Amino acid sequence: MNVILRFIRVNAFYIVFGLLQLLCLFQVARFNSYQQTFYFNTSRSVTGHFLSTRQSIVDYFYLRDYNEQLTAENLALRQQLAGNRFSQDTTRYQAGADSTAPFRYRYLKARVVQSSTNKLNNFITIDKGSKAGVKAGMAVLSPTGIAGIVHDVSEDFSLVLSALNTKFRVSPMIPEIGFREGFVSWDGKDEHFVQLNGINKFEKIKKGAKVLTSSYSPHFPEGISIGEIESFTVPGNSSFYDVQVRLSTPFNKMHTAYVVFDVYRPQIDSLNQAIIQP
Amino acid sequence: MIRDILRYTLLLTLALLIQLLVFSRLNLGFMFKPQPYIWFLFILPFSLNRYALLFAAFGTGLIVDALSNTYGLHAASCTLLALGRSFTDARLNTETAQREGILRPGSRMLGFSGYFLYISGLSFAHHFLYFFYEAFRFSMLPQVFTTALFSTLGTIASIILMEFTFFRREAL
Repeated sequence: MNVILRFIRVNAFYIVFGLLQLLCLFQVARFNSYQQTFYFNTSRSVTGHFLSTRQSIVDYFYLRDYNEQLTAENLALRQQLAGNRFSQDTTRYQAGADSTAPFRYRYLKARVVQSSTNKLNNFITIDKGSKAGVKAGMAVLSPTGIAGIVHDVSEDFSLVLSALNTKFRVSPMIPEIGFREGFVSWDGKDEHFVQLNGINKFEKIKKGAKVLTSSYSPHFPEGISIGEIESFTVPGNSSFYDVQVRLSTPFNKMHTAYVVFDVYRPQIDSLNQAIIQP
Repeated sequence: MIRDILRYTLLLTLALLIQLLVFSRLNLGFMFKPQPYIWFLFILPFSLNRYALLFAAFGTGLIVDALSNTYGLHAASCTLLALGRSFTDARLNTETAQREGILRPGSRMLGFSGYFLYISGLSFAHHFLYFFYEAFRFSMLPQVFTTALFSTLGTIASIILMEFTFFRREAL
């Protein structure tokens, strides 16, 4: 017993260091296994207001960019108006093809108070939280494309796992070639590009082809813009393309976000829970 | 005493502002992410006992974590830096230095090359642990290593710049 006590007394400093390291490592490991962040709720009420104030100052410098983003969004919406079409071809994907179907998605506008792009795991903080009905797992869009998935929620703020996060995955489709496989993820290098994995090298893809979210995605509505194909190569011996997709969302200049409420989500979730684990 | 606490709180605020408002928002390439806020851990005085240093580092890390959504990464690497500093400080003749009016590690005590080695070693340890925990994968070790190396260069340059700006007379 004395030996143990002496050991503790002699090495107390290293034991304290070890405990602090363990505490941090526990946090890191929790994040990496997709759990909620430990101090998010408590720290957010303080830091959220600090960030809000900072963002409202920064916002002034980007008014021009924000206006351009919103005009681009308006234009895209105008082109989707049903009256713009001659015929409704249902044999292939068309945005908003059936105007009589009931609405599946509702959108909530939120302001971005923080968006980082220079880490491996980036997050976006938005100013709507559980009071507004936001829940973890909801999709978040920017005016021009995908933004991320809600990771954690406090009363007034939400932490969104950005598409610029090595943990982010989304199912893509390329309507031009009828492609609906693989997944889009980020390699942590350039904040303007994500990587599209799983396109067979015999597919005929071309530069500039639009990449949209597919209906296989459990979070995102179908047909939201991810980006455009910028370049593609076939790495030696591989049977798949290595595709760089230029993101349509400018993450370093994001100011508006839309949280997506899926009306069918509870039904899908309860069905998924009913799956019997083998 | 109270003056010292006020002074160091102000310096901490300054380091945090420089980190969070400037360096955390800069995009200088995926291998270059300097974190000059650790400057604060280098300017803490020798008279601070090592437990206090450890907890000061942990607290600083936690604040940065909370403000940049990094869940424990900064806290872990800052405590490692504090451990490293307590090792090196134990090997320096800090008592003589304090009698001569040198309160903290600087180039007046270690010489410029000594001071450069001192901050580069500790900064590299901090950055390596940070980027390693951020990637959390052994397969990314080469990228973690190069990122830590280039970012350390940026951090050292900014720390030396800050020393010249704020402590021209005392330190350098």
